[in-house]
Amino acid sequence: MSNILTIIFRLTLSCLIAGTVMGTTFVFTNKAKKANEHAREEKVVYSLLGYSAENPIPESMGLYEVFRYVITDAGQSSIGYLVPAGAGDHSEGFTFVRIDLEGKYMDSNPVTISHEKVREQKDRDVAIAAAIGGGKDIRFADHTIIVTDSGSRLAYLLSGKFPGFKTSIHIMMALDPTYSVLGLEIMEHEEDPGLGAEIEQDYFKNQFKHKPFETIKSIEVAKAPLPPEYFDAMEGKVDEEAAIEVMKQYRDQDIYALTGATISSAAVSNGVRSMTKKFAYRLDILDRVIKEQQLQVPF
Amino acid sequence: MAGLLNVSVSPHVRSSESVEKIMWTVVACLVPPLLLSVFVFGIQVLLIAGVSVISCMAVEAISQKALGRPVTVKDGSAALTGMLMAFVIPPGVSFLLPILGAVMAIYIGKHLLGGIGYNIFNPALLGRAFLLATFPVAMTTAWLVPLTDGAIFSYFNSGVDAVTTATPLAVMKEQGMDAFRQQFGAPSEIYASFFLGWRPGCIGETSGLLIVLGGLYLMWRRYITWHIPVSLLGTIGLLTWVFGGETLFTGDPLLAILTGGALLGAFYMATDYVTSPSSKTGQMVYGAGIGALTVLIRLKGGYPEGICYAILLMNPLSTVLDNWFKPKRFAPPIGGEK
Amino acid sequence: MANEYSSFQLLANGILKENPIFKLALSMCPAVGISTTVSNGVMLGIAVLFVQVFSSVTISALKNFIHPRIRIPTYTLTIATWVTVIDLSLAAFFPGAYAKMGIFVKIIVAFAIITMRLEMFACKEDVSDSFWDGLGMGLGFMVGMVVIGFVRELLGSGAVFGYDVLGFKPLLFFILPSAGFFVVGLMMAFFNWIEAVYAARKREVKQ
Repeated sequence: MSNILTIIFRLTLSCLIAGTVMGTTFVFTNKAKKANEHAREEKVVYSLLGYSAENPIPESMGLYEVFRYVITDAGQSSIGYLVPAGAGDHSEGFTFVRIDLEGKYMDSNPVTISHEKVREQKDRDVAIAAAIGGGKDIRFADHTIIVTDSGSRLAYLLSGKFPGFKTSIHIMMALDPTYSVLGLEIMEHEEDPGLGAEIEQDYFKNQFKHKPFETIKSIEVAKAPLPPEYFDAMEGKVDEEAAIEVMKQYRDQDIYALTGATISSAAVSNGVRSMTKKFAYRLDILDRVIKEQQLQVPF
Repeated sequence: MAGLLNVSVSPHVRSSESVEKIMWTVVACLVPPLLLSVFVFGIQVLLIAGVSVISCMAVEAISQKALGRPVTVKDGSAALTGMLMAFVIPPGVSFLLPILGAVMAIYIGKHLLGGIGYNIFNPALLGRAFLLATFPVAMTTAWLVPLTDGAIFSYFNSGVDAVTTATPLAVMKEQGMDAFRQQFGAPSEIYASFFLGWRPGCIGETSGLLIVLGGLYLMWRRYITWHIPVSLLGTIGLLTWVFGGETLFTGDPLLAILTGGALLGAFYMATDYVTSPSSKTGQMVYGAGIGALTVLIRLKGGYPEGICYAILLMNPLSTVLDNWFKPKRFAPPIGGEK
Repeated sequence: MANEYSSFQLLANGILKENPIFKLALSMCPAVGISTTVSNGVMLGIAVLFVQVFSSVTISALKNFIHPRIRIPTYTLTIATWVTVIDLSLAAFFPGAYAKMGIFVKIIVAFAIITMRLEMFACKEDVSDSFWDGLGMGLGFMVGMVVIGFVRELLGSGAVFGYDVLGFKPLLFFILPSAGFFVVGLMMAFFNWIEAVYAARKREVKQ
């Protein structure tokens, strides 16, 4: 009997010590981890906009996050946007705008949540549920960053994923206010090494750079060999001005498919096309509603 | 002691057949498809096949010497491996590829994984699988458009990029049946041209006619039996007929057998003595397994053609199959019936 | 309890005589899965090194406290604690490397090599010997990972430590998981061969 009691006592004590050690580490590292995750995303955002550590983003620019939600209320679906309120100093909280599927304005509610907490999906969901009242099913869809410079819009950053050859491909891209592509970054993928995995190479993803919305709307892949001067320009093997000149020539062309990986290439170009088209459609509706209802937003 | 007869252990059956003779006969059976391939894809095919055969024999001699085993290059098994490896790579690749493939196939696949007569995997297919993993772009895109005018030198020294095409199975898989009809004609019209060999594909897999004739000759000489080829092709045909179409029972079994490497695999790869079961029932099950895996990879997998991996996957099972389908013993078990 | 080995011998034992990867053939999953580059090998090697040393020292220090009937659960608990600590720290301070190998760090909990050293060595010996033994085993694992990573990175991506040295990618095969087994197998053969040659020479000298 006393044997069992000793075992129980010692095991409990071991578990408590282990728990304390792990808990302490968690407390010490959690903040750094969060900051790192955010920093990684921010780095991609800045590089897509053409900024880096040596060339920091100017003070006059503002980055505003817009979160899109799908809301189901008694079988009725509607779209909700969580947008920052006020003039842009993050002091006035957020507004949750609901729009029905036809694009008509439904209602808007102020949401009280801090600028840091809004990035946490759990905190955000709770705050929104509190603002619009219970009994509704809210589901996070995607988020977009709207970049402004001295009040006028500079770019949109959107992330999304779509099926590739094997699993989903996760991308992030930057659009300018006319929805032309500013840049594209492949965040995650599991395509075949040497074949589909080449989508992360500059000579593939930079093909999308500076393509106008009109071209992107109907972009396809072409099964033709990539012209060598275009390759050099995208890989940065020639100086910048010459590269821009070369890339201009191919601006309205389709995407040259990767050799041996037509399916992955088509997956990316189809994904970019549908993401851009959907985003343009949604943003036009959101902008119209904001204008009609005279909502205060910083962008 | 000197007066005693010199008695050796059984078997005592004498036959004029030897490993050497069988191997070189199989190699000879592969020569007609190779020659046809020269007319379809050009003279560089000979270069690839030659490099493949010579490097396989060289690697065999070197590795046997290095491992301290008797050197048996002359028995033709390395030459056969080289020939078969050349048959399953695209005609537009660099002639350096078969050298690397030979090292993998003979040194690692044959001598390190068992040794002669005990290797687990078919060396030629192991070489191909290695090349496919290492040079995925060349091995999946260097298909050439068949020549119809006999100008066999036209691809020699020309840039390969300009003339590549897609194999029928790849077109069917990636672009669908409509694109396939547009490029190759309606299935009924192309049976003949596919059977004769005028289609894009690996060096040796295009001519169904010559492969079948060679296979029938080997059967007539009793070097191989009908069990594996028939059950393999039968399974491919049956499963493609059931699942290969847009609805059930609308697939085209004949097309499935004529495209890709099905015939080459059935007659020359799956029947390899070392890596296939020896019992007849085991051979039937083995062939059916390869056929089923091939159709599975073709219809649901990432690659357009699956017979290479299907055979490699079934290879290690052949000893298991032999165990399951042991021939019946006619003597009662030792110690009497229980 | 003292044993007859010096700390240096204990260290060398883990790196050479009982190298976890090439000799004991333990913990092969990460050796195959993650060792595509030298830096990946170094990172996982460091993680295993820390977990091994901390666990060995913990178990050795607490060996009189651990009830023999529940020693395996206690080992698991100890290893899991230290793996969690390393996992959280790597995630916080080396996010770039962690993104690639996060899943393999968590698998360290199930590494046979660590439990084996605790059961065979740390629970019987004193703290400083356990420290040296753990250090040796961890370093042996790291050396193995680095050697495999070097071969695979050089042959697979034509680079060393991420720097392009060859200018082209010789054999893509080597960055695929299946090639991990090949490299491990060939390395094992190579080390056995060297050992055989060495032993033969020693015998000759004696005669």
